[in-house]
Amino acid sequence: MVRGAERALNPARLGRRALARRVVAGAVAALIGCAAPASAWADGPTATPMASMPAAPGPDLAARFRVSLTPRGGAVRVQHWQVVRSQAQISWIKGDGLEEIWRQDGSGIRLLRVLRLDRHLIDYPAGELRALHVTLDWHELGSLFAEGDLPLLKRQSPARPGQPQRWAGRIGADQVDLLWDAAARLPLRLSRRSRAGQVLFERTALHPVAPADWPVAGAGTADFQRLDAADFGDMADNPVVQKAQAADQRAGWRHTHGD
Amino acid sequence: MTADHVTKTLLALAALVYATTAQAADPAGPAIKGPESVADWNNAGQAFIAAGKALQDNTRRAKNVIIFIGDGMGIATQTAARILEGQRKGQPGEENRLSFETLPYSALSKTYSWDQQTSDSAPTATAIFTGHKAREGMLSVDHTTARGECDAAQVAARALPTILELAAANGLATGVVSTARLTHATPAATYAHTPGRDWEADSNITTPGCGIKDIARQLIEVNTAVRSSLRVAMGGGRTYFLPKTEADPEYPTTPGRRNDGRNLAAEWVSSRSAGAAYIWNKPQFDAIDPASSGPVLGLFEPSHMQYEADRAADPAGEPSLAEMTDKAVRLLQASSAKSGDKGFFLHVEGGRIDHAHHAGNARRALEDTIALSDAVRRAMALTSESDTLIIVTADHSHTLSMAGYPHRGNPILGLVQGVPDVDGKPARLSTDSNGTPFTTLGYANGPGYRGPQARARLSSVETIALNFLQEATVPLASETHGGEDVAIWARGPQAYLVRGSMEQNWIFHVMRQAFGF
Repeated sequence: MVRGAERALNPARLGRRALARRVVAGAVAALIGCAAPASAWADGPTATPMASMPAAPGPDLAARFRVSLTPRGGAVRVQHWQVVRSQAQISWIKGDGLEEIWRQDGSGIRLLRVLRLDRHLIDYPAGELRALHVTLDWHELGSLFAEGDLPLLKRQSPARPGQPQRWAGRIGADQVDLLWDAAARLPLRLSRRSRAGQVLFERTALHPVAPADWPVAGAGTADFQRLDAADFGDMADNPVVQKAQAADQRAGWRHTHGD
Repeated sequence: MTADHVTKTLLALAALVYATTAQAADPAGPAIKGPESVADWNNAGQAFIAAGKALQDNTRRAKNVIIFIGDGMGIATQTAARILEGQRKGQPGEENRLSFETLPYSALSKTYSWDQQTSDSAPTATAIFTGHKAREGMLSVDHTTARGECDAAQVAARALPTILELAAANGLATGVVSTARLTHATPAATYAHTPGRDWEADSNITTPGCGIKDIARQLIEVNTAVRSSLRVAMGGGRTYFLPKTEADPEYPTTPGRRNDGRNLAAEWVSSRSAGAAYIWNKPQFDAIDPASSGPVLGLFEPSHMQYEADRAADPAGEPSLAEMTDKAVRLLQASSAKSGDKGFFLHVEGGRIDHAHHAGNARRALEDTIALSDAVRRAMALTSESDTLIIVTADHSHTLSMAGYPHRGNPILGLVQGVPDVDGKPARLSTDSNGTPFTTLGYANGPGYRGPQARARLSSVETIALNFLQEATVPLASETHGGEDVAIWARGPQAYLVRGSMEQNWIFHVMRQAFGF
């Protein structure tokens, strides 16, 4: 149903169109909206509508990143992200109260998005993600970088067993500089730069399991309101729905696709 | 010489003249052609007239009434689904008919509500089930109800009796089936009275001290007549019936939504008659014997059931809408037979057509429309036209359009290819002013917007793919409803009352008239 007028779209998508089919997780435009308000930074889901080649899940791990977001012509903003990755669940805690819990089962990959500041949970069932043309790569969801895109980059350092390797090159609209930890299948350092600005991920911790004192994504949300993304079309006036849909759009969902 | 021979001769002459005076035509004839002979058009028209002449208004009282609602199934959706189904049978598709398009009576339904030009599903369902146009977002309460009204006495005073409640009061068996949540607007309007369509579980009512029962609770705490009458309720929305302390049985990481600690699914079993059952997966569904079962509550997903296109991947298995309809009709027939054969009322909703459209995903919407057609076909086979009124309609439309000049048999989900201007030449892609192809189906607004740059080049895109999002003109994160009329189809007792241009709320009056109460 219609319960409100249209909302202005985030111009972030303009940058994303140039990515064409080779869009990867964490693309700059998805993380830094060209004209996005500061509060909207980095709240795009890790997944994108056009993931690269399928990949096997990486090893179970828990990691933290220092994330520096620098919009073009703007000041750097630092966040601290956390991922806990297992075969069946990938949990992210990001800045601005955003958490993502990705799960996969027989129906496919589904998402529970936590909007902690708004005290809301949003369910994205697997079928709904497919209906929105969101194609997901389980490995990419838990690694910030699509391993399948490595061939698009040029190796900058000699291959040494057990040592991170440096890769660089262009992927879509982004200039990528990557220090790749092949054993963890996770970046040690990842810089993505585009006309929108720069996003820099620097890994600050890595453990096989999450330390007991790390926060748990989705914890303490029993009294949060819970919505189904399939109902958004009937809730256009709901400010939380508007916020969630804006995040969807910054991630490349709900407004464009190439195939 | 027969008329057919005359026509063929004239066509041959015309073709000869065209070939000699205009341009060289391919002797093979048009590359695009339908399967009909010239005579077929006349014969089919005569058959239609004969069928119309033979049609006799059934003025009997209806023993049973079944009303199907395709949520968001506008006429463009219906047409496109008809073509898709036909093309899957190997036909061009346009000549195909969905099951309900074979029903003898039809009308147009005006879907505006008391306060909306383009309505949401709450007042439209209220109109259909109570006979009254109502307010945006409100279920089976009249339009004098205040937004967010929390005084139970005020809401009770404005509650409108539904056709299901009237059927129950008259001793009939009743049922509700949907692929959406059972607490979602359309099915909920049959049994719930609330100013807030989103108040589906108690945790959704955030006003402190609000005296209105949530919708799931209202399904369990219906009045005495409905409690004994409601023999089947199947759909999605399981977590709205489960306490937060209880994990969903199919997705153990998903908890229930109820703050009050109640397990309403268990309460269904304990509060209904002997043999009452609560089921949540396909094997349990299959095990239900309509002849011996008590009242059945089926809740097959934590929220909405799967889209038909995704149903096969459901972890615990889900019945199709046709299977649920089949089971519901048999349950109601058995129940009716045990209690004086008074008949039944059943509402069946194809609830996910609407959601797929909101996502801008026409193919899933069409797949669910075909699933609704399959369900209607099952009901038609299980009931008699002499005693069962079947009505099929939509609550509102969407912004889907079918445009361009695609040739006969052009894939309905594909790019437009027109009829060649010279016989024998193959069809070519139609293009826009910039030379870019476009699809037959598109939306006026929604996620498929690709601007503001030039349109995407779709010639290398698989537009028939399940997940393809049709192009949209206006950028919106969710596609919206459409406000134009929708169709009503009917057969059976008093079905002849469905005619012309109807206000949506008149559908209720047709059903009540058919029942005779």
